[in-house]
Amino acid sequence: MLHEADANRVAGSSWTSVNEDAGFYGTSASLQTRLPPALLKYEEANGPFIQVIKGLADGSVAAMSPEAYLRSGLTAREESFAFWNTAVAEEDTLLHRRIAHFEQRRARSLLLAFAAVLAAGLLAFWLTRSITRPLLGLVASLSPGAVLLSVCVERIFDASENNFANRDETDLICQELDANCDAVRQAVAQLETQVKGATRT
Amino acid sequence: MATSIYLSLLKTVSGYVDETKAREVIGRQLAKCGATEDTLEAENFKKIAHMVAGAAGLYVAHPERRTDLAKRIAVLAGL
Repeated sequence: MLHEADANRVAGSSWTSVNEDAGFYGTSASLQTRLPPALLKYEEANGPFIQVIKGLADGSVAAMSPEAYLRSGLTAREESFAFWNTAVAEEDTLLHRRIAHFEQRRARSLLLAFAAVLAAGLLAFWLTRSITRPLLGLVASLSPGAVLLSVCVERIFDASENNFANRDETDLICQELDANCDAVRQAVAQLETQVKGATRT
Repeated sequence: MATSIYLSLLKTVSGYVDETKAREVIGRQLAKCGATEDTLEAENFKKIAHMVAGAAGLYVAHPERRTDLAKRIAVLAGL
């Protein structure tokens, strides 16, 4: 019972953890250096004690003093606790490594999420600008045009009463109206190009 | 490089009209006397001052401000 259910199982699991260590968040140097010697000492102390018990049970060991039996048992127990302390410390180390791994992954995920939010924000800003800029251009062209039209209407009305006698003023009005028409036409064409370009992409 | 007269004129007109529009308006009148912003001098400016005032005035809604602009340009031209 002690041999199969305890010693063999402890040894088997411990050697498995040493052998498979590299596959779980990287190799732990302290586990590789501290656990095998502790395990060997545990096996060395427990092996003879188990043999004594077996021998007493099947009669191959004829007689043994109680002191020797007790000493063998106490040595096995001390080595078991020593091994247990080493194993627990190494398990803590492995758990810390695992926690550090998950913390690093969480930090990376947060960083990626932040980068994605930033990229989305920049894209939204760029899209908004690509819409508002041509519109602002159109507004800039149309806004002075409104004042121009109203003033020109006034002037044309005044000029018509004088039979358009002031040729210079008439020329100015025509020139500015013409220039304004060009500006509006250009702004509209630019807006159309940008809207068509945007709908294509 | 633009002359000091041109820069003064642009500054005056920009006080009443959007600067881009002011540049356009002045540019159109400069072409009439064969000058550019780099070559505009007092003599040429006197010839086109009233035209600049008239053209820029078309973009000023309030008559008082329009008159004020014309006066300032006239003072600048030494008229």
